[in-house]
Amino acid sequence: MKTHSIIAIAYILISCSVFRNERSISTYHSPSQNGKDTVQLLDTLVLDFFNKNYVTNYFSVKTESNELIFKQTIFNSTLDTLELQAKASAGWVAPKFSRTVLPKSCSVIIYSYLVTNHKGYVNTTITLEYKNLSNIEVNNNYIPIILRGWIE
Amino acid sequence: MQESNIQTIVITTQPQSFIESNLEQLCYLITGVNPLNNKNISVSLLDNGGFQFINIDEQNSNKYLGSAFKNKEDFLTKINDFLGKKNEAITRAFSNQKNDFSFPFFPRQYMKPIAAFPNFANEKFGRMIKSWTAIYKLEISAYDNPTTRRSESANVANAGIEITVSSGGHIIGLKYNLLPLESRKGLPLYKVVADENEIPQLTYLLNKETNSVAPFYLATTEESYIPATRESILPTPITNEATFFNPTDFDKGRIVVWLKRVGVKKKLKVKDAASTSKKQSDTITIPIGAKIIRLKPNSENDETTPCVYWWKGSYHLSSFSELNIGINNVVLSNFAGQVIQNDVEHLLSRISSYENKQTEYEAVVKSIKDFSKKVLSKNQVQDGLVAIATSLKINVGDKPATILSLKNSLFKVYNPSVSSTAHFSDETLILPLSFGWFKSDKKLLERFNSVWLKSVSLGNRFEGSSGEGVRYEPMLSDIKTELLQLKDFVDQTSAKNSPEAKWLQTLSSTSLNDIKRIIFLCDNTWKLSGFDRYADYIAIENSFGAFRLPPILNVIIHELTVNSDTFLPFASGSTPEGGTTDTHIGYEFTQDTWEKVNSSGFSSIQKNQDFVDHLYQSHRAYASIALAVIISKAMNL
Repeated sequence: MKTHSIIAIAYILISCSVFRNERSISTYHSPSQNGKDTVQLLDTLVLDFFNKNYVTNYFSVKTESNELIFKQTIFNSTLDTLELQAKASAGWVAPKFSRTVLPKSCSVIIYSYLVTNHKGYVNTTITLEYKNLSNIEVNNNYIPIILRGWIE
Repeated sequence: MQESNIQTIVITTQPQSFIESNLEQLCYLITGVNPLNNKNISVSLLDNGGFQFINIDEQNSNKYLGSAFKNKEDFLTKINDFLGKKNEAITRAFSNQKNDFSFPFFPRQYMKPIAAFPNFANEKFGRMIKSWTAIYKLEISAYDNPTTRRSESANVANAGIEITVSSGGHIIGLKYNLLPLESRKGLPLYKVVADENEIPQLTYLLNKETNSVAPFYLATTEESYIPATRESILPTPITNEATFFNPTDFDKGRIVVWLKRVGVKKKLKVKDAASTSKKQSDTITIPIGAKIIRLKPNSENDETTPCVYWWKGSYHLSSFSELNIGINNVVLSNFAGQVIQNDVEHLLSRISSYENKQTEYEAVVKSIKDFSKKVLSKNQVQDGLVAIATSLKINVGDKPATILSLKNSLFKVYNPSVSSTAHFSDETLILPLSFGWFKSDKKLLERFNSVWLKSVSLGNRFEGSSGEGVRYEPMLSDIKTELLQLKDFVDQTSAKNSPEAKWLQTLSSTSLNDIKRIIFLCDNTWKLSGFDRYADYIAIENSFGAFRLPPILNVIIHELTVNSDTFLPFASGSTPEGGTTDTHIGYEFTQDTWEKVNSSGFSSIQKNQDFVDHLYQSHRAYASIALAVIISKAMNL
């Protein structure tokens, strides 16, 4: 009962964030190790078979670390378990994620950017593919997630 | 390896023992100073062959008698005369010896000055010339090119002569990094694939063990040498055993390593790498050239390093002398074919879960399976190396032609269907443009700054050491539009005759209409060495024995995969923590997996092929396509 309440509250909060038109980004610096971990938090992405793309607002990040991390919550608003696959279009970006997201649940995806030699304007795409595990006859869905901004 | 009709030159040398036994006399004859018991003279033998003479006293002398040379040309002319006289003196001095010495000690016909400059005294003495130095390379007329009818020359690598003469006219420094050239003979060059008129770049190597200066073909990577005649024998690399240090930290360049020689000091003990027990299995030996994974040594002073490797169907764990471990796969022995076969069988075991996933990929697997049944001879491996180096040659000066050639080689072995009439290659454009090309003309650079950098869709995708793809609208259409505009614009620039401009002229709105993905390659990707293990977050150590692709082709295979749903669609990956990722493998993945193997043993990762990929610095799906290309080229299919 307690778990359901938490999920419900989380869903309401996430929904409020998602249904705005803006795709906001906030930055925080986690305790640094080896000059890494400048983390950018992206707006939540809702998987509902209707969203067709996700484009961030322009971000501007100043970092002296080698790696920049974008972190995004994914919310599965459907009543089915979804299987995810993500592919980064650039050789210097790598996604990390969980393969399955349960119905009405969240998951986190991380996009690691190798910042060395990639400072300045960036505009890269991560293709997020998801499919309904319980109905294999339904076509896979693709959402291009476009991250664009400036890395100082 | 077949010999061609083209004759080249191989030169025999006096042995290093000639230098060693006559060192004092040679120094005296050349410099007029007897080095014996002379505390101002430093004489040493050089590792590659030859010797070095330094007159410390003259170098510190404050006696400035004025310059003996008017200028650089005067200096070189006088040095040339001087060396001629010294040749006569040395020939005379050694003429009565058992081994007749009738050839010039200083091979002036091959010596080409590459630098000549004055050395100035300290400021307190004013700006006065203290001495002059001349540096010579050795350039040998290698063969007559039947196509151009020109005589082609090649340098002797890592050899040369450096002479420093004081302003008083005394030799105060001589570096004779060479062995006296004795006699020359003609030998046929090995044939280069089918067309013997096309000859890859040659270089000469001095081998003090075989007393020869012989030609070698330069492979795709400059570190690689391929014998070019039957008397071309690779010199053994010099190791400095005195400064032994066995690093225990992770080093991305020393995880995948190769056995460069088989030690005799320690008997090789091998155990099953997957076994958790300490009991060792039967002793086996693996040949030089075998690929091994270097684990963490017990200490920095330990001469041996534990390594995991695949041999004859299973993984093993052994300790190897650190001195026997090399960092590149350019190791050719009579077992070269066996080593390749082992690496191929290893890959087959890694990709077993990919079977029956896609019709076109089945053909790739079949070609690998067929090839795995063959053991190439050493000559066949050498032929294959030359064929790969020639047919997959990277010409940075002509990127469109290079990309076309690489594309053809790749899609010949794997080109999935995308419809009943079209293939993957029909809808893929690999852009041969670069920032370097834009920079070559002022107007182009202005356009790059004002159009590309200000466009959301274009941007600067040429930074870095890998590549990037675009397959979504409106970015895709924006790039096509700019390419068509650039086609007209380039005609107004000084780059209008460049290969890139000519390639642009082949584009049309019709030809671009079918394109569904555009791949950009970064400028630095063209400069990757064959021994780089990573291109940004792409692991590119896809070697099989002595065979490997140019790094840029490995990057292309990756970009086609991550920017499509039909090229290797079944390939994915795991993070070291067990999460999911795509086919990217950064060095951090290798480091984390390497640490895990060091702490928990190889068995802790063996069942997850993604972890094995981390350790081998190679995604198995990419390695399989790379191998299919290698097979196609090496076997001339």
